Amino acid sequence: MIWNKAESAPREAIEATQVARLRETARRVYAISPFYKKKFDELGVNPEEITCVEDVQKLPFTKKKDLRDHYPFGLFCVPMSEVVRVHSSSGTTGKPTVVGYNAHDMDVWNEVMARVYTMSGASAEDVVHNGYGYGLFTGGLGFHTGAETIGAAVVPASGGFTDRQLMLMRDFGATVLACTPSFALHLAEVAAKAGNDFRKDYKLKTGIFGAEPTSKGLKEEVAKAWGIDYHEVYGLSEIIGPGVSCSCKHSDRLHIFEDHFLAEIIDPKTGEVLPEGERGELVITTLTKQALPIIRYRTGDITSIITEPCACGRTHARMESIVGRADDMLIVNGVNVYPSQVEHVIANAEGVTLNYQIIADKKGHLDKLEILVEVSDAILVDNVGEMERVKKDIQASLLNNLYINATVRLVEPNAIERSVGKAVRVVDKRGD
Amino acid sequence: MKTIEQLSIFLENRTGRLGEITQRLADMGVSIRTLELVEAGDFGILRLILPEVQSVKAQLNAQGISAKITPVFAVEIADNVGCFHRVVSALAQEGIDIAYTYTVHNGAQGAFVIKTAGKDITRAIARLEHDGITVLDAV
Repeated sequence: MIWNKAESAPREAIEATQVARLRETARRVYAISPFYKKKFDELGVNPEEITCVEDVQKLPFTKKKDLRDHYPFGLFCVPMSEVVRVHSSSGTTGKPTVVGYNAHDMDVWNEVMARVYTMSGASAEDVVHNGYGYGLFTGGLGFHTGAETIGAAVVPASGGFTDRQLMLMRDFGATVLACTPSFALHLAEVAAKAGNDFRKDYKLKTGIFGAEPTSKGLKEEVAKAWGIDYHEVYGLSEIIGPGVSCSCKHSDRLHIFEDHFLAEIIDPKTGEVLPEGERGELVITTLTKQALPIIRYRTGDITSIITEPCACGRTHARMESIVGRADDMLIVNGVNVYPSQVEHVIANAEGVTLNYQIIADKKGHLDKLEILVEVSDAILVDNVGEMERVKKDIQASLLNNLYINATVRLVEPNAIERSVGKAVRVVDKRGD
Repeated sequence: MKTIEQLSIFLENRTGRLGEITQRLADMGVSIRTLELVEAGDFGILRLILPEVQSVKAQLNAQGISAKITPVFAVEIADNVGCFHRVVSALAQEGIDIAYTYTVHNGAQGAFVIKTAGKDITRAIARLEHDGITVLDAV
């Protein structure tokens, strides 16, 4: 099933829509946003000159830093009276990144999420168990109102409380599971304690998984563990939240909803656009967002895009499942973490050195994060209780500022490995 | 002042770490008078009373080992029942909290080594001596 015939429009029609919407978006930001006006003027570009999709390459990039520099609402292009929803993700140096939606943007979000659900085989007949976190993150509420849009019954389970979630899934007869792939596997593992034939107690038929990088092996494991179809969703709050792209049952690649998002692949070093099919950094321009239109957003995600036809009938271009990052961002249980954010927290903790190391590892199927902090004479207070407090303070600060549960471990000076005098800040042990 | 300088060394809780520290102390020719090891999950604190503490600390710091000097005081263990209780109750009456305490024995003599908040030390020693309890110059 295809939700909207725009998804199977001829390529020429898709591009015609993109050009018109790109020009309109460029006009709006140029007229309303001093930030964009300045950047356009510096490059000497005029929105009226946009006559083909490739003209997007004349426009300036937007980075996460730009959102941070204009915290909280500086890049909004509608008055707050028109804004109906705000979300945020953790920022790189303490301040979060804030995004806003007006009623029209909510319609766009619900439209693309309706496509995601439909592409995954869900309809009004289904019970959607939504295990994405509700709150400032876009995951929970994006999946929630999207499910309502297709008329499905949605169970707003949010994250955590594994046993209770399994009970709800059984008792409410959930047919669609929406959560991170690692949590889906964790759920299956706990469910399997009831016996290897645990699947007879559940009615799941499909799942929509995302928010963290996922290997082919993990996808197959989740699909097999639950005996369901695996659909991958991609998105980011700066663009809209979940619903930028999704995989159909015919391909591992994800269809990008190109009538709403214009995607490019660039060389992250030079900024040059790469030929179709080559891997590089994904750059997205929103074509229909009003409250926070974004021009050429540097996602930092590494992928490739192809436009060849898909067996499902959709003509929207397909991106690879994210293969890596152009920067040092880590994704921990679906939460984006930059080492600089951790450093900022440690720098603000009292009496602690800035010698630290972030260790990402797996505990079962879930990610765990351990932060090693070197002690110094300043932190050593000959008082076990005091040192435990220092640990707990840093942990609480990481949770409050970055929304991550990390274990802090105090280690001796010079215990953290250094290569050529430079400390190794991140050790990721989660590889397959 | 009858305070004694105690050296506290931070130790990661891993096999062989204590041995690495004691090896360095032996190499420096340091004679350890008292030793207490406190364990707190993934780290511990080694508390030592030893001669020439400033010099030992400087050498350990130079070798990248975190160490700190903490003032404590030592009270003679009188060989009678209830002697520790008298020390504790005297400090309690003064409103002085004991952060931690441990005992040392050196041949015939024994002592309680006591850590209180730095601001309370002088008052603690004065009160104990007033009560006829012997506060030692060294252990």
